[in-house]
Amino acid sequence: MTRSSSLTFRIALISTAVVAFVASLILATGSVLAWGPELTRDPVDPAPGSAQAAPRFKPLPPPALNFYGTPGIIDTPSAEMLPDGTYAVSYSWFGGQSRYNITFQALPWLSASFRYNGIRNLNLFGFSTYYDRGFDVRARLWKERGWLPEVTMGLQDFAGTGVYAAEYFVATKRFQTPVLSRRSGPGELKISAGLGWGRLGTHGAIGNIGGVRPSFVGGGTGGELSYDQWFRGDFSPFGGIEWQPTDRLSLKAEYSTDAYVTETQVSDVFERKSSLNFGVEYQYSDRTRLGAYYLYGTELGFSAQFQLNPKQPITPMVVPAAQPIIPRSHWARTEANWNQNWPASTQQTTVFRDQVAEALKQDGLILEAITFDATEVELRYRNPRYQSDMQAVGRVARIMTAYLPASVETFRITPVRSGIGLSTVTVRRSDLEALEFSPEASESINAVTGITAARPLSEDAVFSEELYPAFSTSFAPYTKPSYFDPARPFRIDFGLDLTASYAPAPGWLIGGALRQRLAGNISNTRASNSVLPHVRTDISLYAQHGTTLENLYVTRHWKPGRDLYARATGGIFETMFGGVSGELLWKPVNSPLALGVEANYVIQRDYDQRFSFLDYKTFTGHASLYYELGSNYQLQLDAGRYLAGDYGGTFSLDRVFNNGWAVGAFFTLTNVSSADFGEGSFDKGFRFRIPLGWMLGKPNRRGFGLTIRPTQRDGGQRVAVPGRLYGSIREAHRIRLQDQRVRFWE
Amino acid sequence: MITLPLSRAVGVTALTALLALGGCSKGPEEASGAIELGRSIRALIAERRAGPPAPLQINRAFLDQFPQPHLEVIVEKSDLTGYLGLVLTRRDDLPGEITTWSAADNSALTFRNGMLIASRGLAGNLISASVPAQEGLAGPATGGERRYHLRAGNNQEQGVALACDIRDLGPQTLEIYERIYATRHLQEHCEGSGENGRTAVIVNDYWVDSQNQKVWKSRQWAGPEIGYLRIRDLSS
Repeated sequence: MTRSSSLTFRIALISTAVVAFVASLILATGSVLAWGPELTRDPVDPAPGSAQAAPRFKPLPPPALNFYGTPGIIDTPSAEMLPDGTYAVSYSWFGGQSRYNITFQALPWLSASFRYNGIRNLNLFGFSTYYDRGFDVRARLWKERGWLPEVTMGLQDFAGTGVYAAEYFVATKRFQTPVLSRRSGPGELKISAGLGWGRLGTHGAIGNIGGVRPSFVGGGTGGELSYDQWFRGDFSPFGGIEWQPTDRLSLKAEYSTDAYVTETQVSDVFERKSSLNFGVEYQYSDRTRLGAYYLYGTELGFSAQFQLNPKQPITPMVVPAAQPIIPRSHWARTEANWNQNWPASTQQTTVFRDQVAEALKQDGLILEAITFDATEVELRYRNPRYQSDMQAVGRVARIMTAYLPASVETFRITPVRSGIGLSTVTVRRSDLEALEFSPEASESINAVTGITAARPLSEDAVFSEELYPAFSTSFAPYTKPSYFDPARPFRIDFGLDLTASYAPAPGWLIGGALRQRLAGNISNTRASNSVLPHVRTDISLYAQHGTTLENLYVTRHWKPGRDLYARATGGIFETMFGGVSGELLWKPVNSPLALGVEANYVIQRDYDQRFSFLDYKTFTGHASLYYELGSNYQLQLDAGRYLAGDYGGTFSLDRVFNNGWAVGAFFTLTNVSSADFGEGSFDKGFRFRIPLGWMLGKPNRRGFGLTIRPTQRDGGQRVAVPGRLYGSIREAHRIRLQDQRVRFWE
Repeated sequence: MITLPLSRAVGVTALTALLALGGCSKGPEEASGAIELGRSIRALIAERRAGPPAPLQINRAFLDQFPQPHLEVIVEKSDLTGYLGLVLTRRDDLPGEITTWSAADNSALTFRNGMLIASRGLAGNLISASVPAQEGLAGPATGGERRYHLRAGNNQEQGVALACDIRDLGPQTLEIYERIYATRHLQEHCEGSGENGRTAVIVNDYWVDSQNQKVWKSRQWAGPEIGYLRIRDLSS
């Protein structure tokens, strides 16, 4: 045995003893103390009839994350996957290196991560603190079953400059350990072992594939897939264990094969004395986990992990109960109740209209128009409250049963947005009466409900009188973040918006917003070095002015034909551009496919963002294909001319959950060369949206969302026009309505 | 360097939240997210200030003032008590009498022959349920399959299928606010497959008056979000 390995061994022994001592202390207190909200747990022998014994929908707390924000030990990965749909945000720090990670479990067996990291005192490539961004992807090859462990393949930092580039295969096996506290049940031991390339093959290599792998060089443009390096060069075995004696506590130890060559040999960020890392983690709540670590024999580290599950709202949704349907057999017992002459009387129909309008208003809905016939009534309404359009349809149906004469048997319910009827849900009143309390109420009503294209507004429709012209104002704060400036990775401006809109007639809208910045630091962002027209990179020039006109436009939405939707907009669209814009969308109600074209002629706005313009004018437009892939996945392909005059296409894939959560990613390739594009080589990014209703537990259509690009450049950029068609239209089409059929009766 | 942008972000968030509290909107357009958030925070503060409602002092004389029958419902999980008035009694094509009861806070429960089949205005609503109802018999008539359909967090239906058997735990005399009822205690014991391979168990209890076929008291499961409800019929 050599001297150095016996030293490693000694360090390992001492560290293990220390960790064991600390762990026993924590265990002793941890089994008594439970700091934090109640955790979801599998109960031990619950009494029949207790809430613990009953079925539970909430999943157990998700697996712990490593320093790279994916399931793992400390600095190495494990094979575990997060629960499907999980959106995990984590932060880790050790030895002057911080990593901000976002991981999205896109499919049960596939996850993707984005990371922003800073290495302090690297003093290389012209930066004292080196910031970089990277993407990871992980795929599970097979699930744990019987004696077989779970096995996962991972590509770490596979497309950026590759500061953290590594590839690995890792296997994890879980074992139950004895019950230490009755409260939390049996413990769990997870053993992981893997083979790593790249960073994970820089220490203790046991073999080599394909010769020498080029070492990391910072400061390049990055952005290209480094597939020629994947699984090339030295490879090393790594591994670790995680023991969860109780549901709150976990102890971790690992053998890391990352030599930190750049950090410890090329530069002097920290000293690496050992390959062994140790850690203690505490599960504070179902979503939050905190950890403290001792890494590489010299450094202390910590991590904070927040795992949001879009399927588990922070506050459960509560909607006030609607009145139950009272069958006509209870009240329409005489011949007179069933008379069919009432539609002839304007007085009568006005009364019905006003009663229905008032009831809709109580439910947060707005009556647009109603067409009366003795046996059939079409009701057109606007839904500013419910995120689920199916829920709004159900509530409208209930109101119709409560207020319309007994002779009306067919209800045609048409949601309207921006003055256009989006679809018509046809339902028979007798079905509503018969099925409200049937054992499978949602399925049964769905089976007898028709969803068709909205017919043009009937000529004898009775309009709501108080709708047009309509004037709305709002006074609200705004925030505008800006990311990844090397001097300061996170910048933000905030202030107040005064927004006003005027709707003179259905389909028409005049809108505007005045913005007053109160504070912020975006104005200090570095100046653009782009060789393309500066269509998006003059952020700091636009941020110099405090009082600005954010937008001011006239827009019209209409339906030129069956399954066709159109929009025309003119004015100032956004911070940087104004002009004219037209859009046409073909979207059959029952089809997963939609096709659209959009054409814009835009002029770049002056930096003061009032009424003047710069010299740059351009034509930009796209042909788009939208397709609903099922399981809440949506694909969008665009091809056309972008703002800088470049031609190309955009690929976007989004997962839009029924409850309004959305996570997606996109990239754009255009005829701009990667050298001309600059850092990042091509435009790409990801976006997410968290619905307000998911957080607050009350029906609401709003949400908070962000689009994050690793680098904001000028190639592959589009103008932001208010009121684009597709998003709001498909929400009231068949797939989205049927996906949410369970909300019909709520 | 790490803490500076973080603390700044926290500061900005706090300030935005404060500004949101002052936000306002008018007109038919949807209010912005910041305004909705501000409204919710204000409502939450008002709720906290108001504190829990004072418990009602109930006796039979007080109950007799109401023309419509009422239920007393205790949510076991949160130890909250609610009083629900009868709003509808009806029938459909299936056996059993359907009753819907609603509370002042816009929550409602529906029963078929005294067995819970729907909840509204609560978290994780029970959308519908199949229950072993038989004409002219209050409470569960037989064992066998039972299904609950619940609305889960992603606006999706989640079903719970269980196999039940009925146990007669014998006669029991009940007192509900000075009224004495002779009942039989029926227990419905249901099992199904739960998460992570465990067996999920639900036990529903009914105290049934066999003379006029009425469930005077029950303890029933209403879904994983709400848990068990203790229900007493306060009608005279």
